[in-house]
Order: sequence, then C-alpha cells, then structure tokens
Amino acid sequence: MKNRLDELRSLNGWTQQELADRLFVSRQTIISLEQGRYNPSLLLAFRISRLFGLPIEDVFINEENEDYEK
Amino acid sequence: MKNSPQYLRKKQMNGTLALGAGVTLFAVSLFLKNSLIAESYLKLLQGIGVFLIFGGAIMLIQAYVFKKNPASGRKEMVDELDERKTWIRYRSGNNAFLCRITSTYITMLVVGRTQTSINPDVAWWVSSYSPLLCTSSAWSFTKTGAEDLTRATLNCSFLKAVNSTNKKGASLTRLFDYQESCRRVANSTDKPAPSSSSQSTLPYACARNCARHPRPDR
Repeated sequence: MKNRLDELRSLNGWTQQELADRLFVSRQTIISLEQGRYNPSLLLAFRISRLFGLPIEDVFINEENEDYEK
Repeated sequence: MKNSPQYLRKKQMNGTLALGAGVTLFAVSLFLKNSLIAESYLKLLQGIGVFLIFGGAIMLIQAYVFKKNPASGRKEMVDELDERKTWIRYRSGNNAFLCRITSTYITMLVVGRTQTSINPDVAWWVSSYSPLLCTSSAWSFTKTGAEDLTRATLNCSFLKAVNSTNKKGASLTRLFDYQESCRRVANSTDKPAPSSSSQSTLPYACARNCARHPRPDR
C-alpha cells in the first residue's frame, strides 16, 4: 500500500511531529507510514483523509488494484 | 479517546478503584488473621492487596503529574494509545504465547518419553509461563495425566492433529478433543480391538492414525 502522506504533509508545511499531534499518534507512526512500513487502521486512514480534506483513495493507493486494472 | 481530560479521568478512576480494592483486601486479610482460615489464603489476599495498592498509587501519581503538566500528559496518552505501538505489543504478546506453548509441549514430551514424574517446582514454572497449561494444570501435570496425554499425542502424531484441527477450524479445544480421543484409543489397545464402525465415530481421523501407530507397551 502506497500513500501520499509525505507529499501532502509537505504541501501543508507541517513537520512530522505536527502531523502526529494532529492525528493523535506518535512521530514514529508517521515515519513508518511515510516509509510504507506500516499500514494504518481504517480509523486512522479516515482521520488522515479527513485532515487533508481528500477522499481516502487520493491519500492511499492500493497497488494490488493498480496491477489488476492494468 | 482523543482528549487528555478523558484519559486523565479514566486514569484517576482506575487508580482510585485499584487503591480502594487493595486497601479493602489488605484490611480484610488483617481482620481475618485470628480466624480459622488457613494462613496461606490470608497471605494470598495480602499479596493481591499490596499489588493493587501499589498499582493504584502509581496510576494516581501519574494522573497528578499529568494534571500539573498537561503537555506531558498528552504525550504520555499518545504514546500509550498509539495504534502502531499497540499493534507491536499485541504481536510480541502473541509470539510470547506461541513460545510458551512450544516450551510447555516440549516439557510434556520429555516427561512422556522418560516416563518419570516432573519436579513440582519445574511444573509450576512451566505452567505459570504458559497460559495454555494454566487453564488445564489441574490434570496435565499429574504424572499419569502428562504421560498419557503425551503418549497419546505421540501415537497420533502431533502434526497430524494440528493439521486436522486446522482443517476443521483451528482451536485449542479441538486439539484437546483430538488428543483426548487419541488417549482413549491408546488406552483401549490393551482391550480387544474395536470394530471399524466404532472407530469411525472418533473425530478427525484419529482412529486411523492411532491404529497405524499403536501405543508401545509399558
């Protein structure tokens, strides 16, 4: 599962700590999410998409679906 | 739980409850000291009471510190409730559980193979480190219980047992049911062999495996 967390965070000018504070998670979680080492729970994924004001599909990209569509 | 006050209230409530329960248990144990109740039970009550008192006091101190410094309280809350850390905790707990089951099973194999009774101290330690055997320690670590169970498991092949229970939906209850039926079959090898129809009523093809690997004579 890929995500655009790094890009969206940079667009908003937030640091990892600031984003972590807004999402009520630790900075380590943000690092893991950005590096793609950890897939968030559905709850956190919705919280992230709501924070950036985007649909969940625009923040998280399911690689399996992409392969399937190809 | 997104806000610190809610977390703080929960911490305070849990701390107060634990402290109250601990003091009550300790007081009850002191009150019953001169009664006819065995001293070991009273010491158990005292031990639980002291444990709860310390636990409750720690939670109340944490709540007090969070109240004085909300920023650190919020950081602590995030650290405690962070979903990735929770996931890591669950996963490590699961691994520990698997390790304990394996160590317990190996111990049982050794006991069954050597046909000697296990030292009660060793049994206590193994059972206390194994949630699996904590639930069944009443029978699994008596000499005959451990031997019979292990021998039956060996006769019926543990892997086959696990495979067959996995096919039916993995659960320890199923595995124990399987082992119990194997044990019954192993015990009945001294008696005349049962008919094929009665064997087929045993669960998960156990009868076939046991017939193929009969129990060795004592």
